[in-house]
Amino acid sequence: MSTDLEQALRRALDATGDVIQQPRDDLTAHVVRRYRRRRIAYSSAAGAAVLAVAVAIAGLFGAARDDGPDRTVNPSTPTPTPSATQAVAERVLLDPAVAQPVQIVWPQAIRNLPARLPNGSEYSPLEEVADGVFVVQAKLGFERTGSVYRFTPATGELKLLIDARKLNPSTTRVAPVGKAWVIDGGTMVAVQTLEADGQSSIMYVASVADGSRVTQTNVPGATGEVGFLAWAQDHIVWEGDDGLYSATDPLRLIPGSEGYRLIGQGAWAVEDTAPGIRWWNVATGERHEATAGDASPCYGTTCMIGIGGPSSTSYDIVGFRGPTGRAALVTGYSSASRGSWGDHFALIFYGRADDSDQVVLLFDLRTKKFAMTPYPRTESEQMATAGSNMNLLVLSSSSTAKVVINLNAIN
Amino acid sequence: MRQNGSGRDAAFEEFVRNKQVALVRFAWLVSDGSYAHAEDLVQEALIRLYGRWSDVNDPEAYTRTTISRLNISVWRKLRRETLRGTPVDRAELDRRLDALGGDGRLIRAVRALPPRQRLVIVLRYWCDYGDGEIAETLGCAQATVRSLAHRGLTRLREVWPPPTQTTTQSITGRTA
Repeated sequence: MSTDLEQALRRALDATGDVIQQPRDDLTAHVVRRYRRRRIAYSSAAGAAVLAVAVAIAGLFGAARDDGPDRTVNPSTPTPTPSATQAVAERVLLDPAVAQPVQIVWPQAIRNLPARLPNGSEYSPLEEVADGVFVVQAKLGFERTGSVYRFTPATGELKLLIDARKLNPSTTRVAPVGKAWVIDGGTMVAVQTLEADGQSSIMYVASVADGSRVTQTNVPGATGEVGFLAWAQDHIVWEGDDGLYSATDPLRLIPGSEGYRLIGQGAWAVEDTAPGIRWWNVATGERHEATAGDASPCYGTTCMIGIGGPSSTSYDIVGFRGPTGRAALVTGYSSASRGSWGDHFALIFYGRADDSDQVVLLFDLRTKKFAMTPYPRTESEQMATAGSNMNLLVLSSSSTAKVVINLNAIN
Repeated sequence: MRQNGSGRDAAFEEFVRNKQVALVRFAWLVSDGSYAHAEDLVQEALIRLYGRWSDVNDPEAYTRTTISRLNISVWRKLRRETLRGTPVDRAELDRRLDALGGDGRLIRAVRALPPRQRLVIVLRYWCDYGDGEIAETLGCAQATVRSLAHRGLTRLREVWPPPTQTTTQSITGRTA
């Protein structure tokens, strides 16, 4: 039987016709043009580098680096505390029109991998856990997630860490496990079993060193597939639809976590609190808060970069000053977007001013070098960035080879 | 099998002309971004549709599914920043929502739901999808769909009906 709320929902959703404006007249031509451009762009690594957005980066990171770990920043102290005036003077022009491919700017970080594992499986690389050693997840059919391995391409060594079928032999789902998460700095890998019809599933954590079980947790069927997973000292935490949950009590939200989301930086979670952001390290309890719009790029514990286009476009990226003196965590904030980046790189996904094809700009916050790569083509490639800290980006993938960049390999 | 080659563009253009408003409405409802973001989702979905036009039997369902998955895909879960050349302007949309009164408030509440709850509500109550179709669209179990719908409706009941409307209905009921 339909409730009053359900009837109201149908009526309200129908009323959106009065809210939404008519889309552009030339949508078909626009789509066809983008489709054809994309096909051309993917045949040329640097094919989509014509962007015309000037980005002004305040010099907060260079100045902040001078501060020691325990330094208390006093805004009235003349040096070395950066000021808004200094920030404006230290602008860096990030012009995508002149950006070079990442392969040229950071060749030392490029990794060439075979298209398939030695056992013939297709796979997604998740993380380079040691020099030349990768944690990878085999694919089952079309972009389905399977067993997890430690793979050393140079020697061909393939160590099974999690056998997906063995872990979940009775599932009726096509894939026995979901996407794997490399956690705790690359020492562990976690998967969630996938079950039919809301049956409870298992969060399973294995050691990357030898594949032995570290821990496992039963989670109720209503949890569904988790959005993000992290390691918090001695247990896992994950992101549900409404907040964060912990293996210590899978049935209830972690108190105070409603609205928070994990961001792939250890156990850090953030909550958007327009006009600002709250950070919370679920493992340590450390908290920070920043408000977009503050003038100073680094004031007290808060750091901020303003990114502006050539005219009216403006975005703020806010972070807090971490123990090394740099902004330890940089999170994008704007009305329409969410960002999560480490303390080293900003990954900026650009649509061009004419809203045609997109490219990814990789910006080194420490050296202020930047480079570009075409927008990833498939979700399977996107999954390659889904390890613990999103350090691995797939640049290209073909039937004969994969090319990835390990952001950790850039000093 | 749909036509390919020269007939493709004409058929595709007709499809887009007939469905683009509904598709943008759908994308706007299931996303928490701006109108421009909704248009971007539709464009991306249409690009993928165009590339597979000859293989797709139900282009509208295919496009809706693509929009749904794009909106909750791993890529977007990673919450990377997307910067665009045009500023986001919500003022006009806000004004139009305000003009809808209670319906506008309910739409706002729907759009404030977590992504998967929001998607289930829109597919169920606007697209009239059954739980099986929704499960297929999301790539999850039907029980998960029911759970998401239950949680979404529970949240919406926190804001609906608005206090003044409750009073009015109550008085009207007694009078009747």
